[in-house]
Amino acid sequence: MIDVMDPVALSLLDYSPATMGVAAHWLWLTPVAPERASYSPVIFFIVIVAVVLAAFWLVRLLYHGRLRRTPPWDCGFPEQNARMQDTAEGFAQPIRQIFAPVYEIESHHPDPFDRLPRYFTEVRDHCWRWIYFPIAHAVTFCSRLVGRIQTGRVAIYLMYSFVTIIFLLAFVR
Amino acid sequence: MTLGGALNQLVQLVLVAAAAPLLVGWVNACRAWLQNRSAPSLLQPYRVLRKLLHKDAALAENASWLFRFAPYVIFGCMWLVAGIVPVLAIDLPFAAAADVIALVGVFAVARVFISLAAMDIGTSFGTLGARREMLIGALAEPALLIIFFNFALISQSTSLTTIVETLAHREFALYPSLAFAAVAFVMVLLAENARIPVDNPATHLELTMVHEALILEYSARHLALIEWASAIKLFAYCAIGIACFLPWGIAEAGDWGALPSAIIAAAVKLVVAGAGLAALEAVSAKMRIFRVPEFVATAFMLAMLGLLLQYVFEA
Repeated sequence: MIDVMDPVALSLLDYSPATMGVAAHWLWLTPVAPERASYSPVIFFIVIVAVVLAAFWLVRLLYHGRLRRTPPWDCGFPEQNARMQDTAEGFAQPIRQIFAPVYEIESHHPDPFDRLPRYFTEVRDHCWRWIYFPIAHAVTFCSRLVGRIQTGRVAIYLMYSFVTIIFLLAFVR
Repeated sequence: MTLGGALNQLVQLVLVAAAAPLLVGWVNACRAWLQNRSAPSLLQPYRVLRKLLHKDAALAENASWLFRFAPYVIFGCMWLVAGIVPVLAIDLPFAAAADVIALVGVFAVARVFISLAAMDIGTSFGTLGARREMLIGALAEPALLIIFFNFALISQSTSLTTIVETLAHREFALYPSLAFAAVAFVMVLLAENARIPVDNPATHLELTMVHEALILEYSARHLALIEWASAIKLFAYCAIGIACFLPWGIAEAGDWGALPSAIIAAAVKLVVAGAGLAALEAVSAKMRIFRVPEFVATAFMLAMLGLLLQYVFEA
């Protein structure tokens, strides 16, 4: 894997990771030297699984596995249905609220008595509005100007090249 | 891998799991004394764990396998973290498999699992907790990484054992950037361990709770595992702080004679850290949930300042 990715790293850095001791062992990911940074995903994963299984087995071994099914805690309001569940929208809301200055958020909240509530939110990036869209509009404008002289008739195109040659002959020696 | 290293690794894993509830008991006792209450026994967390492990688990009807499985994953992740952080001696063979970046990743895995489990039941409490936990986590994690990069810059390594070795066993040097990093680390510790300015571990009020809302549906052995895991998490955070900021006393690799003094040093430092944590909690008030991002962002900025300072001084 590292050998496959090596040309990419070589083009970005001045040296190749594969020649810097990474190839010491295929299990270990060691960018520079073992004492600087090393990471072994395989060993790490195996140990995580082993520790989780050990915890599971220890609890099973030392204690009973008795289990009782009960209704979930409803906070005194039993008529809950799936529509009252949290949505992805709600889940991301705090993050959106914090980063609200960074984004341009337009949202429309329905009235609580609305029979057919419609909830609408659009999150836009300021970069698009202030950087990318002006550039895109400028490019479109320029191409439209250029498009005006593109009539599609061969005679006119021949005239363009003729004028260009005359122009070049007159000014470039 | 040497036999001594493997033995040290094993001793540390058992010791951390065994001592973590004691630290929680100590913090609770200190808090009670500072609030003029008579303190519960230091062993109270052990009694709670024992009680919970013996109880019959009550599981919600619509809970899936993920809900039952998550406590084991969370416990395993925290236990693993405890195996990477040098508490007594540097000689930890497994620590080479994971550096501080992987350590932050393990915390993230545990956070994802606990949030998924909380959302599994589908009640609004669980998702509320999950949402807030993710909010705090998403902001605290970069701050923690930047703090670790401070050390990586000093010791030229992202491995915790090398960081401790550099700071404790080479010539003594004062790093002003670490003062910023230390303040930032304490703030991240408070945020990540659901301590008072960010979350109150003793509350069950919907408006304010974060961690308690996440684990509301858990009972008996599952709850015991999660409580134990959060105790280990607190212990691990304290151990990381000690290892990074006050590493003196941690035994070098292969130095078995230094081990008794290392145990005493670690115990003294943890006792002081626990008392300090309780004092910090006693003088601060729980903040509104939307003030928390400012709190964590301050930690991030401080860590960043430390990093910049380090660059300036290095140059």
